[in-house]
Amino acid sequence: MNIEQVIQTLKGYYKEKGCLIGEPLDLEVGAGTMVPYSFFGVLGSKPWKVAYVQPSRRPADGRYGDSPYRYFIHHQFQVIMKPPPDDIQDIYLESLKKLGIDYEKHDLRFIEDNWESPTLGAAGVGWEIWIDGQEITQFTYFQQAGGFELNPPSVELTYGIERIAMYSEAKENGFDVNWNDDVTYGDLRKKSEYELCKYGFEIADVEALRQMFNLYENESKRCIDARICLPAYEYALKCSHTFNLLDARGAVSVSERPQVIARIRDLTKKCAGLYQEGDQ
Amino acid sequence: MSTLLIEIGSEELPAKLVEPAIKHLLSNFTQVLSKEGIEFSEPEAFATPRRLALLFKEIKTQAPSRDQEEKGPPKSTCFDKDGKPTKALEGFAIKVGKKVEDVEFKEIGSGIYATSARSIQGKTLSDIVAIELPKIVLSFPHPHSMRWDETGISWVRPIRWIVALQDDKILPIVIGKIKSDRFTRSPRPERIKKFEIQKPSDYQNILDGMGIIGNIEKRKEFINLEANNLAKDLGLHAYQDDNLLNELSTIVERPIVVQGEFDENYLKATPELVVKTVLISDLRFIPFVTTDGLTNKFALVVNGPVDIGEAVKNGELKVLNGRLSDAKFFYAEDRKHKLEDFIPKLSGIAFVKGLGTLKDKADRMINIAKDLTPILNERMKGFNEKILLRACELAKADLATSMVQEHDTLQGEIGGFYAQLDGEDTYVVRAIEQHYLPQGDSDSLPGNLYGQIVAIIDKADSLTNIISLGNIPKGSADPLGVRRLAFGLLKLLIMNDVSINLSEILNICSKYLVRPSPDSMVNTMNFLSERLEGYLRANNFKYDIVRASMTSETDDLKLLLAKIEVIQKEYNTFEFSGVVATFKRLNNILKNYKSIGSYDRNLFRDENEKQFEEKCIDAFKEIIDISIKNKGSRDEKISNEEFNKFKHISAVNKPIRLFVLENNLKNQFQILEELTEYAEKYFDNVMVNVEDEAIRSNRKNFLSWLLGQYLSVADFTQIAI
Repeated sequence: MNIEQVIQTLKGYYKEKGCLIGEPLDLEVGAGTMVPYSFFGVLGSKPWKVAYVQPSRRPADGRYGDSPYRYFIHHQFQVIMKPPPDDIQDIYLESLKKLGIDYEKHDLRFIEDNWESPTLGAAGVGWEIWIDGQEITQFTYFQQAGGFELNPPSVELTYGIERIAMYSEAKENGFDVNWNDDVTYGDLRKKSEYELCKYGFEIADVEALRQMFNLYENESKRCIDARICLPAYEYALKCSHTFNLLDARGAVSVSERPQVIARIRDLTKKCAGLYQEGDQ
Repeated sequence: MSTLLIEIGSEELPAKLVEPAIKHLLSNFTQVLSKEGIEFSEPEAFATPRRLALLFKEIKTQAPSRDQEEKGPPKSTCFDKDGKPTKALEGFAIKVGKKVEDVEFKEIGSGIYATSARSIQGKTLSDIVAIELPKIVLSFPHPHSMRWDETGISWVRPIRWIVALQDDKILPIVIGKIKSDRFTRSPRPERIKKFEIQKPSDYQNILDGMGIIGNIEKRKEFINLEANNLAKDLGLHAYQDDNLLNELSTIVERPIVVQGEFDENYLKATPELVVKTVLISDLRFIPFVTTDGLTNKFALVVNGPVDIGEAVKNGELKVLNGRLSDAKFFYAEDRKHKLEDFIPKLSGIAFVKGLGTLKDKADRMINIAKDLTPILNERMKGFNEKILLRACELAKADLATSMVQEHDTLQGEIGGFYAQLDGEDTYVVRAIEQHYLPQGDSDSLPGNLYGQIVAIIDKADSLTNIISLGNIPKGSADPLGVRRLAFGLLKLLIMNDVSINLSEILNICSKYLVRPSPDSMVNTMNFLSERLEGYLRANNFKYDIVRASMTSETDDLKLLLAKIEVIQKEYNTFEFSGVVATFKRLNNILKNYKSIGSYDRNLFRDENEKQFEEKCIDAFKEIIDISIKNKGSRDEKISNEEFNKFKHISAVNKPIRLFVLENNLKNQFQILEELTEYAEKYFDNVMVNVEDEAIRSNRKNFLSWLLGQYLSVADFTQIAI
């Protein structure tokens, strides 16, 4: 299955399972979890089911397009279900069948992996799903977000789209995977991988990024004071991405790091608080 | 007799919790059954990542009833002065459901009380299971508890099914939303199928039918045997690694063992220890070895039906090749530099939050080593400061290499290996390689003296700094591994070959604390004392001996251990009880007495007391002589001068410390034992509390001095015989 087919299949499957099919957030994020569909969606007790693709930027993972499986931008297929269905493991396994992965003929493992995002004040318990030694999904029972205990918890499934297509097409290099019948992942992404890495590791102006961070942070705080949580959260996401760029550039010292993370967490926690108040 | 089967089915448990979970279930459930008086034969235990089960082949379904006597008010309060029943008696009668005139009175202890005998109905197995089993399951202690549905119950992973059968009958159990039934579930990777269990005795057959090996030990044996057979076919051996086997047996329930191999060139281009780490730690493969070392063959353990083995192998080999090619790349990158070139990079890696970088830590280790040098020069023949300083300088450098950043379990080993390739001194190489030892209970110490010293410096520095930030572990939480550090440091100080005292190393460390606080040394000492007691007790020393000995020695831990060993050997002897008796007698007679100074021989009035004092002085001199005669290599701790001072014991001296060196402690102890006879004679013949104040005080001053001598060995009042 090529990338388009993987995405279509997952969207179709989770639509059947009652999920709202969302579109990606129009901001830079490090993971699908950071999208409001997930971050705000898991708060509160109202049932919620959503699935969407989210291009995710992790500047420090960039390799100028040279690594077979490490990228500046990769694609996640994110599913949130609140509360988790009792047969969620079976729902997940069935999705592998739909993707043409006959898991019954392979070595399928649920390897313990407990997930934590300090910038989001979020934590969960779950597994990495391995198929024949290859990690293809992160399966997490969300316990906490924005510093709040989640009641009920949500389940989060994060499919690594490139990994799944690699597995499905039996390619050893992600850039050789087909996006559709005519275009490969490499055709589409390799040049921009190189340029993004060039920017992230060499060109980015550290001083300018620091100023941006401060501007975004202030703007987020102003929105919090004005009690509008979504714009406040969007600026917190901008802080997070700017921090990731600075980090990749090697501009964040060891002692500074936890402090910057705490500043972002402070914003996201307040956003979660505002959201909860508005919900009641 | 009936049969009983309990099976708790869950989503995949973390590998390391499978065994603790079944142990918890087994021991707590059988305890409850015993407490309730239910008879049963030893159950069989099954544990896989998805099921925990207990099978009782013989169990009573009903606990016998017991007679219990209920005690009421004392008879004196049961009747008023006219002989009429009081409210107290009436109340009791109502409570036990009897008429007032039927209440009996019995002598219980020293009084007479209203009583009522009643028979307490024994509980049924069904009730016990229904009430106790959910509590036992949910009380399993584990890190990272989770909730998974609206009921809010929490456990390791979601509980999905419960089987509870007493013969052919379902016993009702409810945990969260799950109610017990008679259906177990199939293993992965197939789609979940339900299998009906008619009666507990069918369970083993049903597991067999699904291909599941339910018992952990049997699963381990199976994997080990299969791997060894595959290796034997190739004329090789399966590498024996108990941790690996334990892990493998707790991540599968239906193991198949398949043989694989990788490109031989990786073994030429990458150090063996790296290949081994990729195989074992990253992929959990069992390497095949010859007497010369690793080969390119291995076994992999798959969870699933036999026919998937080959298909899986191809996928796994792809992953293995990726990892090996990464490792080869990292190794080549690392070797573009010398190990020492990585030292500056340590300033970009944090040590522990709030405690600066690893470069700061390496610099502290060098400073501590410099300060230790005078002590080491005295106690270690041929000590070479340069070697120690170089080892400290390089010890942490490998943490900046790509290889360790990818495979953190290689820390130390890779540093040693790179240092060797760089042509560093062999002692430096070994010290770098071994300085993380000992980590766990079964780890030995670094075999090399410099390794031991670097390990002591490293652990003492980490411990004092982490505790000075206030990170003293409470309960089971210990994210920074402070207990493990303390354990390692204590083991090193007790067993090392250099004999560095606890206070010596802690005082030096305290000079270089990143965040000194007034309490940091006291807190570190207190924490270590607590752990020391635990450490010694865990090594099968009696708690009373440990406590008694720790009152006189918590600094020279080698000496402390030697003392404890001697006392434990003597513990059950008649002679030892004599020492304890003498000590307790001294202690009693001196209760509330504060010595006002030394005693005066001229005030001795009785032959017995003169003789006893002489015997004591002789004995103590002899004890010290034994120490001196057996002075070994590490005895520069006490100079000859000091010994000479000890030899001229006189009554005006304060008590001197006995048992200062662990050499021939047994002989020293025997001399102490021989004093008992004279002590008894003294106490039989000499009256201490006489009218004459001068004589009385003098006697008490003498005995105080003597008690001090005994106390310098141990506080024998702590001994529980």
